[in-house]
Amino acid sequence: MKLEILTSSPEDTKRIGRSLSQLLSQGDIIFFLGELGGGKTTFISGTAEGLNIKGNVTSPSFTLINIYDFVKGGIKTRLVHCDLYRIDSFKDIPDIGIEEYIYDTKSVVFVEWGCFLKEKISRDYLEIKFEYFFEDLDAEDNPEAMNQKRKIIFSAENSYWKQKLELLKSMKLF
Amino acid sequence: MAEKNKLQKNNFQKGSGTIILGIETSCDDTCAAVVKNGREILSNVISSQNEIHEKYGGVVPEIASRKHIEMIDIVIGEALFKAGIAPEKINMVAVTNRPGLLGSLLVGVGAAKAFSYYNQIPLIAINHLKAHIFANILANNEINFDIPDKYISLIVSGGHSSLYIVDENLTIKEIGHTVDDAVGEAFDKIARYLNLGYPGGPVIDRISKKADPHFIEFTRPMLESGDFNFSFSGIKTALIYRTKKYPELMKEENIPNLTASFQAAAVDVLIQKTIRACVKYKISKVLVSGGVAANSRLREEFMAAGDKHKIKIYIPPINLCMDNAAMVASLGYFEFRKGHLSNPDIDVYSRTDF
Repeated sequence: MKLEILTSSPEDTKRIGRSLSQLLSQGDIIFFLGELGGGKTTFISGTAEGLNIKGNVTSPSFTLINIYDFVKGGIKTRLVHCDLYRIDSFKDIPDIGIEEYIYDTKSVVFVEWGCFLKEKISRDYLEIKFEYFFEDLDAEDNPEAMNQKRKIIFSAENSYWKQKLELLKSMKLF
Repeated sequence: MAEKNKLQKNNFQKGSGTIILGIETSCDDTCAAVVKNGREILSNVISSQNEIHEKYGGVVPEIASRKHIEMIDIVIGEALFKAGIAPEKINMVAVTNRPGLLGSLLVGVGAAKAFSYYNQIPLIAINHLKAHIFANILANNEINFDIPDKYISLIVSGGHSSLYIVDENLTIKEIGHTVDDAVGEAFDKIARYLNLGYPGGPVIDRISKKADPHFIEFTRPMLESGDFNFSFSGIKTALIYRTKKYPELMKEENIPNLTASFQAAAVDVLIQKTIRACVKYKISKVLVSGGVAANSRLREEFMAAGDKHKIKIYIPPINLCMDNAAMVASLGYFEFRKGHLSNPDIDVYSRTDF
């Protein structure tokens, strides 16, 4: 199942992230794919806001992993936000010491750039892909305004995430 | 009793000055230095892990801390040897305990605790960011915290891009920070996107030198935001967007022009906001520091802007812009003079407020 949403500003992208936060539960794992600057971190900062995580959520490209505590439905849990942009293959995972976080089923785990990992991990996952949106060619003269538009594609192959996507589809997003 | 005598002897060596061992392991460089009276560098040893992390296009925290363990004793020994100072002649140990990678910080702090306990000398926990500011003190005798004064401080590195006000009591107040990527992080990401290697800052600096910084006039994010916050993710996105839309930009001959234009935009925002902070807070001295302060365009443009606005700009020499332990030892001296000693059970922290 695929769900495509167009956003025309970082604020819109953040809003979608916020909506997704309502559907999350412990043990969820989501892979975020797409170009640098595609809106992954923006989206995730919206989700973090929705989870009542205080403070600025920034890209963990330096630390590889950032961990944020939050409480949902009276249960203390945490958001594990990894950025595997710099890691090219699965065999590097044990070396860099992040295994225990990625396989943590008590947390909500977000993985940016983890394409190679997605194939190896035997869990029901959601994939969210971010693309620059180029169709609108009259914007030729104003690339700054154009560079705000994104296509966000949610895809799920398993019934668990398909159900959640149906819920997301029925929500008022903007 | 013997221990007490030793402590007193070490702390009150008349005429020889205060000799501090500085230790810094907050990220991927293992550093130790010996500094006299907060200003005179007797040795400054840095063991870089760049080659090890190059493969990953950036620092890998777990690997960094393992390498620190291998290197820390050697580096401290080397610092003492180069300074020509016996361990028992050290009066104090200053060590970075925040902010940074926890596993890395622990190695330096563990070594510092052991050294201080064995030699029965005081331990001073140092804030890494504050130490960067003090690299300027090592480089310039004009800066004097004994007299009441205020400075605007800009720290620019791979992990931080913030503006502060510093006063003579070593109090630091943040007035702005990046809302997304640190400027050095944006340099690294652009370098990787354009296949230029790691670390990105020095490569972009080098290839941009003879290129056209006005090739593309990139957005200057948050310039008119009315506060002193920065955003560098936006410039990065603008560059990537252009190259996706106009793939011919990725031709080899265009790459230096792209990086030069990107660098110009990033430097421009940093300088303009710093100058505006000086105007708003009526402060006429600026302390620039951090790894990105080694960028040649940033250095030149800052000096030009300082001349134009009658603001005195201080930037440390390049070796003191990078992570080093001399700045840690120097700040240790000034913290000690203000009476800021630490308990022997200090902990490490990945993030920090001042």
